[in-house]
Amino acid sequence: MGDVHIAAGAGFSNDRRELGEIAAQSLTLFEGHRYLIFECLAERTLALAQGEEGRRRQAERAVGYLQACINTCILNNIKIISNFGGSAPKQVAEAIAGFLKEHNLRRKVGYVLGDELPVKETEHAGRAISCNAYIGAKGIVEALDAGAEIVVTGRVADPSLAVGPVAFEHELKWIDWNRLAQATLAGHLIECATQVCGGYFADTGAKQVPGLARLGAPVASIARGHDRLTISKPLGGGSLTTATVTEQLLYEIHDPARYLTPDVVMDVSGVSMQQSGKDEVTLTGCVGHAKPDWLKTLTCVDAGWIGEGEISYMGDTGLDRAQMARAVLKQRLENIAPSAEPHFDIVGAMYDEAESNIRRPRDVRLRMAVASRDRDQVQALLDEVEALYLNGPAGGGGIRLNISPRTATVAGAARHNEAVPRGYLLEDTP
Amino acid sequence: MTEPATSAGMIPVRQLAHGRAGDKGNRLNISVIAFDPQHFEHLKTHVTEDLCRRAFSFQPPSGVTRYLLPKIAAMNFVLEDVLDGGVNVNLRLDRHGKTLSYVLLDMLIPAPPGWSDQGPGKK
Repeated sequence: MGDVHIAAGAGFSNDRRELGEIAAQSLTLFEGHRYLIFECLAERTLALAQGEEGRRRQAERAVGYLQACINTCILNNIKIISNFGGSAPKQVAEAIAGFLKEHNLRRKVGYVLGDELPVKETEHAGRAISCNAYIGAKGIVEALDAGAEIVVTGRVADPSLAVGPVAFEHELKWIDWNRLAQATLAGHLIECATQVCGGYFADTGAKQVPGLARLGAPVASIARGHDRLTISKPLGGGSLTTATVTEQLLYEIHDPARYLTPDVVMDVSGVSMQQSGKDEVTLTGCVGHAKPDWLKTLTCVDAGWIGEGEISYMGDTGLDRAQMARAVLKQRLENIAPSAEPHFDIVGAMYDEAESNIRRPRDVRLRMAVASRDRDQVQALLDEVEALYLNGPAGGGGIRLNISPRTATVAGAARHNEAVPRGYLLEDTP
Repeated sequence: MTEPATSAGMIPVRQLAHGRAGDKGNRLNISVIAFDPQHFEHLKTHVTEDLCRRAFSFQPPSGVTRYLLPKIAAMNFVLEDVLDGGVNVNLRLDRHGKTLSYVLLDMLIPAPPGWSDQGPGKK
């Protein structure tokens, strides 16, 4: 009794929409407190989500995720927590409330603020666009405490999406370091959704994954007062084994004894795990240490433009001609923009080339990437790639050119009292 | 995929272990996890920081640190400054460096004693 079960319905901003419904269906198989999380916020998502247009896109995406699973969630009393609020949690919460009203659905919507910081210029060249702190789970707990059944956050640290419901249901104190670490581990393991249950794992030999086309969603289960954490995948394709869990355990981890989050320092250096059932792994031995004094912040900086141009060469001499084309481009770029520092890849031979052509690929693609604050300069350099059609080696084709905005991220630090998470219930919530 | 040029008694790491790369800022981590925990000591001896540095000689990291997790037969390599400034400004094709796990997994190490070609990670 009192177990908390948390399923993940998305691991990135554009994940498979059907996954949310698979995750919700999976939760119906468990007794206890049931939560569905969507992790949708990568490092630069916040920079891309600025402005009216960016906020509208965010709201549309959030509603899109809900459309796929909301009926199952309401019927089974599953609460939803997500950072799909991006740069505007309150506005996204309002859009969700509007969607619910429109469909005559009753669900209390809450949101979390506190991550947004005043934008300060950085030492990085370029205009600073946004600055956010990675805040912890306290705001989620406040929103749940206020009665929210859907909680919309911005830049909450990814694993804190799971710490919130565990802290709320099990009434954790914010110095219960081991319990907070256990919930953080639950969040860390499922925050990338299918990546713990067969996604991003498949290979030949011992790494074959059944049902990769319809991967299921992971569920993390924590019993009150127990040191045990269970991860399972009840429905859908894929497989959840000690091997898949270990890959995710160490994903984006540096020192395994010191994984810093706003809630706790998680220490997984002594974790043990065992296969406790089919598609079910149980972990013990995760411990926590006092949270860091500082919160991590991320400032997004407008760093101009990035241009990419590609051209293909085939045949036994394809690699030679791609190398010839690269030499020609370098000479021409030297005349147009001597300060530009283009990067070249020969796709199909990137690593072999460094080892003096062990294999000779018969199908390669020369790629040039260049960055500049001056969009016209980027265009001029890409024009030279296009000119390779008539002015380069024989048999080049399939040229593609692309220019996109370049956003740099600059990490910094803030004190806990500079970015205090606060949870609210939307007034006029349906 | 053709096997890399092998010398007698050498096998690629990926026949004994699997792994995944992850990025944060300009740092990359690569896990190396034994298929069979009995091979962990062998991997510990041969999949070293030095081997990792050699694997990335085409794109040298400014630092390599290895962390050991014997209870789960795993190790974690942290490579500094291999992402040309990080995912958002990197001009390389794979900005995250997500594909780089296989650079380490393809490295050759001596086969463990009694190794037959029917090991766990073998095709």
